[in-house]
Amino acid sequence: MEKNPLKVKKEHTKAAMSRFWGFTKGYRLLTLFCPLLIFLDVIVELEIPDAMGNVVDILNQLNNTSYDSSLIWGELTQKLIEMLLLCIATLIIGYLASRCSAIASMGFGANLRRELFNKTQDLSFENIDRLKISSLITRMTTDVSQVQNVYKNTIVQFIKGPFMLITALIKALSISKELSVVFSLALPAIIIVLAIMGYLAVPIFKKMLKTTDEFNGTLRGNINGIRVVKSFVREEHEKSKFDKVNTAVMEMNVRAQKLALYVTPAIMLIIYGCMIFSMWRGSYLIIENKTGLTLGEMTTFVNYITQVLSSLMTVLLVFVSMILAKASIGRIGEVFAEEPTVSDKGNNPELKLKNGDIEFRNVSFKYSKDAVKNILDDVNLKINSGETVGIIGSTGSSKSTLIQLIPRLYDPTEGEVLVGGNNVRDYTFENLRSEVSVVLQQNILFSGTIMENIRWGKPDATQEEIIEAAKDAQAHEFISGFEKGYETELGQGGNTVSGGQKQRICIARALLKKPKIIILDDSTSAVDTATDTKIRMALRSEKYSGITKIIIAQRITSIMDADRIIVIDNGKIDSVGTHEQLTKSSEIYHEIFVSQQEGVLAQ
Amino acid sequence: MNKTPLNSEANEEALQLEEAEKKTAEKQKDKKKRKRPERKPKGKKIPENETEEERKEREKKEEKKKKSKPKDIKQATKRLFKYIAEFKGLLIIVALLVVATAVMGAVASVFMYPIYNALGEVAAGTMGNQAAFSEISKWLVVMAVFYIASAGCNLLYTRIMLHVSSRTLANMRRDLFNHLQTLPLEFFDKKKTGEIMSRFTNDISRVSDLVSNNFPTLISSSIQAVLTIGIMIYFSWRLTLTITVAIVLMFAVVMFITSKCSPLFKKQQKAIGECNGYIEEYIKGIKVVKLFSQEKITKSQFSQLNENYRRTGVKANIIGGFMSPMMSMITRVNYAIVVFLGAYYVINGTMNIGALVTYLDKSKSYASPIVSLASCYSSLVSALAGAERVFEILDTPSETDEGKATLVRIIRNALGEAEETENSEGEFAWKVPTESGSDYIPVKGNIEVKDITFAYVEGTDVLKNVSVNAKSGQKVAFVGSTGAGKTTITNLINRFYEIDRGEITYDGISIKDIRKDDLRRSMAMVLQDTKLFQGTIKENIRYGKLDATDEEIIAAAKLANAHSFIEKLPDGYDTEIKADAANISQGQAQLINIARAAIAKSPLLILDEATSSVDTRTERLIEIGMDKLMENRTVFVIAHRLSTVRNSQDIVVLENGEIIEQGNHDELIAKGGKYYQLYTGTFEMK
Repeated sequence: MEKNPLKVKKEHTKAAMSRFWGFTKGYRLLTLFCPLLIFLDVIVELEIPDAMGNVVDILNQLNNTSYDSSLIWGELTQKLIEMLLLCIATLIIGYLASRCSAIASMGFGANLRRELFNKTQDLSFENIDRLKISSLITRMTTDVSQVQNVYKNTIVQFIKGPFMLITALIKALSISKELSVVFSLALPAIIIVLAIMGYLAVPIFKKMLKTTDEFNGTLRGNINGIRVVKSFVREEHEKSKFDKVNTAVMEMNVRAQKLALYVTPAIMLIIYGCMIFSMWRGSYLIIENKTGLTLGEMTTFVNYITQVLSSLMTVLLVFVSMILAKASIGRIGEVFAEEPTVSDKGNNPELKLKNGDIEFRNVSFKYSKDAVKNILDDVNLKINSGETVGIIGSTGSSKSTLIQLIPRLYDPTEGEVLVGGNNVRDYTFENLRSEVSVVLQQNILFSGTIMENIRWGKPDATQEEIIEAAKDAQAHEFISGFEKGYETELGQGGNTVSGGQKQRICIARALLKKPKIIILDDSTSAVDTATDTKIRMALRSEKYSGITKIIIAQRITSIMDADRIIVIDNGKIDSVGTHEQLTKSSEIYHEIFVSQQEGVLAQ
Repeated sequence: MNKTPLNSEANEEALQLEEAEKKTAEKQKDKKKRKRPERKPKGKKIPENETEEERKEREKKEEKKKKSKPKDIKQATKRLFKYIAEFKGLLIIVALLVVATAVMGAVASVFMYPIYNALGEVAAGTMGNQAAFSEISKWLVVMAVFYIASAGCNLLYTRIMLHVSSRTLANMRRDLFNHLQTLPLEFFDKKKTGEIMSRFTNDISRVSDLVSNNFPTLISSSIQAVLTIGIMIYFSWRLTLTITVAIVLMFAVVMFITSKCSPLFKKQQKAIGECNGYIEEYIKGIKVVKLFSQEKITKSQFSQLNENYRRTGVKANIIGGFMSPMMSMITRVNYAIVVFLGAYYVINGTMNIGALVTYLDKSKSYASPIVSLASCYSSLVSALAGAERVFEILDTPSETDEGKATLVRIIRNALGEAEETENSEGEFAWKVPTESGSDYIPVKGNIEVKDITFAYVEGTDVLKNVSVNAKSGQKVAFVGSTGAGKTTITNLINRFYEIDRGEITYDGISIKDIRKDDLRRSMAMVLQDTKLFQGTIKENIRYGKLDATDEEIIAAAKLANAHSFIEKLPDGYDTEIKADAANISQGQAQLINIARAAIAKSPLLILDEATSSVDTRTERLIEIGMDKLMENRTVFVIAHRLSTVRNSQDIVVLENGEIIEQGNHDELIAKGGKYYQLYTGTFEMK
């Protein structure tokens, strides 16, 4: 979550709003039809207090000692039939309105959600890094629902409210101008009450969100770090830490809700005040019989008071919800406004990789334009198809950055990267990435069976191919050891298997694609040395001889048998050569090697 | 050392005898533990009948798993009430105020009756204008007073309720958290973080709804319903009877429709769940999606789920939106009936016009309390289900601990006798209670693992007959492939898990006889996955020793070779570590972890892949510090990188939970077995 979720940039809100019209596609007619129905509904609904007032007037004739009961019955029946017809009409209109708004708002929401999802699929790694994955998820779930709700409320309530307000006001005025004076006080009173509340509430709600974030952070930290808590016997310390945030959340909550507390009684008082005033004034007018106001009209008027004031409330509340949703709209807009920094638009889909050649020409790279220092600095490198290349260097030496330019996860700031004979910028993503398999450091599996996960890279792979890939990745053995074998379900994020097993499944998934280039980015860190060796042995077999293999590793044993080893230091290529050459020529390599192999050399 | 086996055998026997009393003892401990941090006495109310409830709950759980409905409404309600019971006095006041609000609101509208009557009499000429007007004014004033009082009562009770509900929730969260701290590690290993988190957020907020909204609504709606019906009966029982029949009939129709559409809502919930689940999973994995250029497939898969959600959502929403016009129709039809019948009664002479007008006014608000009662019920059910999920955790048994030996610091007096001291310079000793006081055994760090067998899940032994002997000041290393059981041994040494068979002794005392807290305090651990807490780097290092001075912290950081990178950070030691330590590298986090362990200065050190994310060059730099750190300490080391275990006195090679090789580096290399293969990486390379 951002630090201040209520703060939105204007251009993002605009970016979202300008697209909203597009999301109504297919539901435009219904969206327009909705207010129309609501309008009808309001008209019909406002007839009802009228009808009620008439009934009271008719009944009032009973106070006359000499009334004609058959006349009264006639009038009553007529009124009642009128009312029942109105009832049926509201029911039908109500149903149609609910149908329209449901279809229109759900459709709008679905369009929005789909477009947003599609948009995220087109974003580059750089875009994703900037927007942050966790935040993207919130935007697509919570924020979209919020906007969908507001859309629905807008086409229903926001239109109904003013209709209702205006028509009810006109009706009230037509009954009695004298009594309508009451609105000139009540309407501003309600607006002022709500405005004050809103004014006071916003900063408190912001603070509340912040304390809630802190609360969740503390809690999550404790649960994730429970081993640390227990091993240092810090339960009491944790309890007091929690006590603090817990109390803070409670207090903020009380402060925020305290404000809301006053709204109901205040509005109640305003409404009751109006009722009492109009009854007092009304009774006087009836008794004095100056304006011809009848008892029934007064009853109707009192009914209109509630209607006018409650419709004003609806308008204001929808307005408030729109303001709150503005943050969501802005956050969604921010995603839409994001221009993919890496794009394959207009690239020739016929252009395919000729082989697994890789060439870096004067490549420099930095993640952000504003950064002073280059992460990669003037890298020149040529790797031939079929070669096995090891990359080694200390943490932060930009090993991962270097290889991420090959499948064009990022574009170099300067220079160019050539793969399979062409600049990576000339391929479509699909053509490039289907030939370049990368096993990332932090790899991810999806829920589904192991089989489905391995097949993921190549949906049409046969079972044999899958098992073969798993065997080469040294995953077959442990998979077969599972009760359900390849049909074992991996939980969300692949949580049911160990880190080392996960890495091997990821390698199998990458191998299955039969790419021209395979890159293992420290992807055997959780695999033991023996298994690691076996994986490398498999990669050296005839089957993979035409494939360019790039292995990033911490352990020198993982790369010492490579055709060439590249030593990277601080974003620059320090030296390139075979193991034998480097132990002699590269100080860094020698140092690493000695530290890892001292014991053996001593033998 | 000779004494040790005897001692522990005796201990074991004693333990078995105690086994039966274990549960009771445990419960009492819990009570004490829980009481300590609390000021209010209500916390003790939960454990009172815990054993019984536990059993009941667990039986029920097995019967029907995972339902959104509460399993035992009565039980959950009862326990929930215990939480609110602290505020009994306030709640009674609230109840009275709610009643007052409802009664005054309802009664105030009755004053319409004399007003209409007066106006009627004026029209009929039976009352003078002046008299009628003063009569009306009088009643209006009374009405105003009632309304103001009613609004005042409303304000008062919602304010009190806010106090009660927020405290109750804070108490619940606190109890939940405190209990969480006592739970065995197994609980955390089995449950996902998100799942536990949702008990604190979703479930508790559902309970919050119950306390702050449903409770007053329940009272006021019932009162309103009773009052409204009472007033209506007062004015005309005949009309009321007719209406009741009509309304019951109509409600039956509505209920029928609602029951028809509740599966629709469930479907909608499921569909949105699937939709959001997909988003969560595939946005998290979006980089992999792009690497495999699967965007087209994810787009189409998502589009299907999205469409499914849209379709189910439309159906559910149409019905949902239709409910309110339906409800208002009922009220209107009802009104029509009243008018008709009422007019008949007035003409009949069994009712007067004022009564009818008041009655008409009442009949409009007749349905609303009933509707809100009905909606109250559904949120009640969901709140109780939430409460039950909270109680489920509170009912999970705490870690058992029957250890009696404690860790103290001693100094020798002139006679050479041990005396306890608060001074942190004193040496560590185990204080073992004996019949005639207590013995002090100096903490040496002799760890003996004797023939232990252990399984996380019954039937699949992770460790089989493992024995290791670490003498004071020795470095013992565990090596082997992933899943060989290396980490499990450390999990047993610090009693995260209890040994199934065999035993581990610490300076001759069975670790089962040492209080867990003290046992853990005697060892510092650097664990496989680096976990730092939100807060500054300084605070994180200080976690190992809460009263550490800044100098101590810097010294520890220097030892772990973390000082140089920390100093380079813009805020140095005061740099805030963000959630999941996103602003520092894994390797740096591990260095801070090592510093945190270094500052604790415990006699035993366990390093579980402590430097796995640190690059080899940095690792070499730490090595010197690590050597210093390990001086005079017993150390257990687990590492993939064998260069770090080379200088261990004893290297234990594990495979599938069994020891296959053991000895020092030179011996094992000479042997040319598994260790040799692992070490040289020549495995099957021929």
